[in-house]
Amino acid sequence: MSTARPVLQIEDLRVVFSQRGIGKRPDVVAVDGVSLCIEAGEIVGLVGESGSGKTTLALATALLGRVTDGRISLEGEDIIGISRKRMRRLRSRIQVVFQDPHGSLDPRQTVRKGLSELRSLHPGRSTWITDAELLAKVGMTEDLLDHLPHELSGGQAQRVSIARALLLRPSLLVADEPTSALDVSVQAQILNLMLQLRESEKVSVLLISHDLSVVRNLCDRVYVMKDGRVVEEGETEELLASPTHPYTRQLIAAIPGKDWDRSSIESPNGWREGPDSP
Amino acid sequence: MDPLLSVRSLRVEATSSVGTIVAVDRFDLDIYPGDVIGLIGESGSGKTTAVRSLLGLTERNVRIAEGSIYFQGEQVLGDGKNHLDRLRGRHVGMVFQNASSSLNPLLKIKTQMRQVLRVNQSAQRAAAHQRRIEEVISRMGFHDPKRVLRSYPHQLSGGMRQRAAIAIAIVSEPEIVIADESTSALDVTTQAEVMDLVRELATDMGHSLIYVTHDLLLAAEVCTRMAVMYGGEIVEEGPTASVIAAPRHPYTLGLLRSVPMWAKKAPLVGIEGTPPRVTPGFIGCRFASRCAHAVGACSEADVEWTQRRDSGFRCIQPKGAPLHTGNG
Repeated sequence: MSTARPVLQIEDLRVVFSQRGIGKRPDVVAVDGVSLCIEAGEIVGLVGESGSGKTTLALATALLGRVTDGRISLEGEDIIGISRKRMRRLRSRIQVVFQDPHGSLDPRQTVRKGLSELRSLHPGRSTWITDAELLAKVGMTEDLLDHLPHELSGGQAQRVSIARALLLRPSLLVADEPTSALDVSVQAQILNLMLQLRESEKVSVLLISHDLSVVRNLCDRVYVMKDGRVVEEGETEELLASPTHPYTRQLIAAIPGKDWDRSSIESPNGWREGPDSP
Repeated sequence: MDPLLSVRSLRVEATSSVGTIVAVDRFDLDIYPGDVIGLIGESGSGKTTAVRSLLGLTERNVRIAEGSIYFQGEQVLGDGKNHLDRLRGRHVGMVFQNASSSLNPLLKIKTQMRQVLRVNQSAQRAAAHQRRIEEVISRMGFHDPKRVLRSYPHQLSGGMRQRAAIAIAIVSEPEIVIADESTSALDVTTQAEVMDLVRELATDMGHSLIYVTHDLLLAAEVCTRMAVMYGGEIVEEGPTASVIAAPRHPYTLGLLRSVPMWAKKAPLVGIEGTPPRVTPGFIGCRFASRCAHAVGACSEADVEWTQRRDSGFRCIQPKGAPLHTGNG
């Protein structure tokens, strides 16, 4: 496996949005010559501010957005300029988890119904697992299968989104700010789930985030985007320890609470664990 | 020194078609001059309802069921009084989360600042108002403050709008400023700039501050004290350093273990479960159902506040204490 092709390879990707028809505005170059590579089993972070092009890049990667120029290949197969039929087949191998789970689930569909619809669309790829086993993979029990999205908490709904993504055994999970809408105590669970799925499902993850502390705790490598370009990339620890681009430095300087660490709260002189109450 | 603002036993209830819930309960808070208090909590913890109640800005289905509020020693709420409208704007300014929706889109920033002065300091002359407006806006870190005054909200960027909202909140020189998630919608680098300004409000401009946020580490950057809320109650309160470095309440510890920290890569530990629905008859610790250290006694009676020197908590077996055997 060590000689395996990269899961995702993007070369010189450009995405241009035309604004003709809206006065005399110039075209917007949302992604401007980005190259990016994700090896099997990697969790790769993509950071940048709003408007930097990270979501446009993610959508292009997931075959959901436009591509003006450049190459994207998934496990060695080109995915630009292919037939619709092949694209549909390939699309199942890249799954996306969006920021707001309640916005991405159909409000009128129970969890079970949503999964069965997916199964009918992808009969070949979805028979490997039952609904209950699938939910167990994301830490949920099957009694939630008959719930509607509004009956789920934010964390539960995001787990359902991840379960739906996993149903098709994707090689790549594109997670666009998957925890920004969640409370921190729930965010921790979802981030842990991603780490765990990388091990158990051998899925690679492209994690889009504005939170460098999240990226540092989760990602093997990181790309920093600004104004549609990758300004810096590298191994997470290395890049964050000695950033060379001024923009990366600025991002790091802006992180709140850098001086706090966990030593105090992880120290053993905390609770003395006693017998459980009956 | 007397507190500027004292809140005692505040209880706020919200009624909807599915019944009544207790949004804020047994809420005590003292704000002294120069204090920067972080009010920390996750969604549904009651932090926003609590500060909105202080301003008398609650929704129609929300009512203050109990409690008293004193401003500079004078009772403004309780015993049949409700003078919260006298505080609002003049003595307590408010900066909301989303400046693009809290600012009036039809009025220039200058006009909105002038309105606050007119309502709160009607005796002064227009010329004095103009001077005050220019003085305040010049301190907000704008490159071109005059242009900001002439601008409508949509002509400003998110960070500029948030700073304009701060200018509007402090133009009438309130003793206390309440900022509710005032930087959550901003990019991190813009957030850092606005936080610098928030810090200056307290240090150079002499306002006391209540900083409401879900972000514990962000609060730790500016706050001298922290109050952590869960299920409508303050569960722990104390100086920032002691709350973060030596939390006593299991929920505070749970939060700290959930936050990805910059300094040290460590496994994150979330908090399993979801917060309870607190109805008027609720008894016991609100956190008991999710607490790894809960014993029978936690759910049998309401947990009283324990004050130790300058910090306190609401827990019968706090971190560092001998363990309750709790064989009830």
